[in-house]
Amino acid sequence: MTAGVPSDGDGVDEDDDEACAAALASLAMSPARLRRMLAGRSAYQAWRQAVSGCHAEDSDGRVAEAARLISPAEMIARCRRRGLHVAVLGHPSYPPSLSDDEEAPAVLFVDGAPAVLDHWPRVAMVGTRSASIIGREVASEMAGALATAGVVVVSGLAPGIDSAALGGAVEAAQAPCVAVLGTAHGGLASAEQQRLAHCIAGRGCVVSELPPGTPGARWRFAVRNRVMAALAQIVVVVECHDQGGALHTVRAARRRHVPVAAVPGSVRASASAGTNQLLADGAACVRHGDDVLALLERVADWHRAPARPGATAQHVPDGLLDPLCAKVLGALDHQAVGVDALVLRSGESLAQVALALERLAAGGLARSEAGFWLRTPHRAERVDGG
Amino acid sequence: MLATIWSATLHGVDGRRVEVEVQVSGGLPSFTVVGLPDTAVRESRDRVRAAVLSSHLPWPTKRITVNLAPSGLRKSGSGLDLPVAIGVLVAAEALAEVHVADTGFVGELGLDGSLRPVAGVVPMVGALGTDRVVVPLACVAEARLVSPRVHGASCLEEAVAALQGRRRWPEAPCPVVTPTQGVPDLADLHGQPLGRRALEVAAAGAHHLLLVGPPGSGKTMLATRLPGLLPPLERHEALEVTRIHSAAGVPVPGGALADRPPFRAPHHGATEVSLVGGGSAWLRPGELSLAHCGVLFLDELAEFPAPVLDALRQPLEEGVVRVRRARGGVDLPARVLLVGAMNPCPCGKGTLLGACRCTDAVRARYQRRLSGPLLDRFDLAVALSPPDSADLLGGAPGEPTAVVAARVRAARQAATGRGVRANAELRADWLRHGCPLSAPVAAMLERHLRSGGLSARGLHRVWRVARTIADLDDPARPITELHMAEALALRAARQSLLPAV
Repeated sequence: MTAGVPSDGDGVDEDDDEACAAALASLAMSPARLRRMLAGRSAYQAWRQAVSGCHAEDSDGRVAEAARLISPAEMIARCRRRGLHVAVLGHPSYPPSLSDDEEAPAVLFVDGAPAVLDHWPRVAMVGTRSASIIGREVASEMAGALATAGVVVVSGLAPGIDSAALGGAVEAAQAPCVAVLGTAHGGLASAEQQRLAHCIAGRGCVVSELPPGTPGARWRFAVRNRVMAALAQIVVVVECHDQGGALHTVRAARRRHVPVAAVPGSVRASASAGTNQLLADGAACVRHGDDVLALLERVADWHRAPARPGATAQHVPDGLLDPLCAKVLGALDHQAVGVDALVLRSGESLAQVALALERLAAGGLARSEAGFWLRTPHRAERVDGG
Repeated sequence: MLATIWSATLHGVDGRRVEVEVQVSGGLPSFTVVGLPDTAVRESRDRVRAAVLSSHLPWPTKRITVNLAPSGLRKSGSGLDLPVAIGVLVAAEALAEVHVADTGFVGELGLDGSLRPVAGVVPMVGALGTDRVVVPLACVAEARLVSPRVHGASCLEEAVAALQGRRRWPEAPCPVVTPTQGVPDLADLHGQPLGRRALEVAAAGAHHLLLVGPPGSGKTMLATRLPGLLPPLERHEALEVTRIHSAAGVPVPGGALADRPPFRAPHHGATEVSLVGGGSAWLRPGELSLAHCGVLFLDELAEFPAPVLDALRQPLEEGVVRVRRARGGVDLPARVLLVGAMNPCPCGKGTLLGACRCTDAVRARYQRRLSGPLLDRFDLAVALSPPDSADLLGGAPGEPTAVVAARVRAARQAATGRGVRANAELRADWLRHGCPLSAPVAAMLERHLRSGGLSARGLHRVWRVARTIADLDDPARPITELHMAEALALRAARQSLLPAV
């Protein structure tokens, strides 16, 4: 490294690239600008130039002004305290899966094992925050099936589809998964997300472009979508409203020629308007994990490991179903159904239907969600298929 | 000379007997009222003087002092105009004392001497206890409910003439009994098996009911049909309801004596005082008391301010609103059947099919407006969905109100046999001994208790509801699995409203 700028003794050494990169990343700059700031020079040089106000990218001196308030040493200490790994673009430790991307983050803060970012194959699962119950369930099951097959599930940890997918992946298998945050580490909105993030960091990794303690911004969520698209071999949109935010990821994926798949939904459901539009525009149609795996085999020349037996839920012999339960189960479909509709469909009294539902729930065949009823997925397939 | 006239004033929904003493003595002409009068009473001086002069009666140009005893009790309202006027006439010897012996007076005077109706005649006349009562003509029907000898007069001159025996008391107009219209019938409701059943169980066991559903799912239609299912009021209940309505100056449901359970549906802009009662000068009953023995329907429950809703908690438990103010307090009866209705999310579209764009956070914030303790008071909570179009157009009409009401009546009788008005009042120890659970039913509950879907308090609530459902079948039989499954289904929507753990 050539020392172009003299050190002024603020505790930063020339070889402290990570600290300088972390400090630069904490300034409210767009990822593109941050890349330009760091391009062609070491992070230390970039930092020195930024502080002294002579950086070519900082014509109005605003970066210098903000940079003088920040100590790289403290910034890196903060990362270390949280056990974060700081990956700087161009360094050998930067994940190769991202380093070739045109819009790769200049600095990446990784909680967990960074090596997971290079596991292969990776599937990004994205969708709306205001998802339907079915959408969440599909996301969770699909992610579970993918994780069981050894695929790394990449998602955003937003409420709704993202959390459902990651939750499903975490629950289903010990397989690693990746969460890409739009906020800094520790800046998650709810305790539930924190818990999930912690869980994911334990078996995969959680990445963010911001050092801990940096305030978030709305635009960051749209910007981080490119990271998911860059990481993935396939982007699956589970549910998305017309003009929904998940379409950012779709556009980012299309720019990178990453295939986009969508889960079909009811043409009346607002939460499926975006995904149905994607399908109409030619996106691949995926209904469950197997469809995604088949697509992976096609686009990424990847072949799954043979399925482990006994991974599905416990089997209740169909003979145990009394006629009433069988009738009510027949009236239940994979949509959430109100008890009203079940009474009308089965022609039984409310009490009979309620009792049948209690028995089905006790047997693990059906479950209720906010007063509506659904079939439990694995079982339902067994009953249909015999 | 001194005259003493009996009258009454209103305190909450109770009447209080007031002695109006009038002294006319020598000295500079003046007219003073003492004995904690409020503004309306103090203003009565001007009305009384004008009314007496307009009625061609003599006004003493002397010193007049009016004392309202007991002097520690605050007097409010304009009902004391007539007794003060009569007192002045007696004290001025324009009217003989014998003509007003053992007679109570209540009524407001106009400047032309006309007698105007006042609110609260029923409780006030009830408190008078005199042999006969004189009230404005328009109040005669109400007053007759509580006193056998009631005379009405349309103006002061007429009242004085009749008291002196110079003419007959005018005939009171027949009370206008509103024809039994307006109670909508359940037969109008197509489909909605869950909502119908919830309504029936709510009526049979006096269980508070929460309806959750998007607009157009029939929440209001259901709620307005609930009073029709409730048994008609008994005589003492009817009197109490009439008394409260009279005190609040609100027309009594169904004519002179309330025979049907009242139905009150305040708008969600209601303040705490308008809902539970109170006020500063005159402690008046709120919507909760006006719905006593009937139905209080709070549409758009989540739009009510949280403090207003939380003020309902204690009255719902005790059946009485205890209003306390620095100047005194009243207990207002408030035994209501609460029906709440709300949308599942702020945009109202939200069904579980992803039809709306409300995010989890928005939904959670909307539903959190209902506090846990208030939610606890709803034994029944059902999620309604808009009826099927086929049902609306071609579906067979449901059971009419009369059929369901008959079942409700039978179930209420079973409850009376247990020493309570309705099953919602059954005590936990009675449930344990009087209606033990069979092993399969207990197993069913155990699954819910273990999964966290049912709390210890919820257990007793669902137990009572199951008892009500069993009563609708046959009061003598124990609770079966069918009954319990139905009881659990009728509270399933509650789960989605509870804050996430």
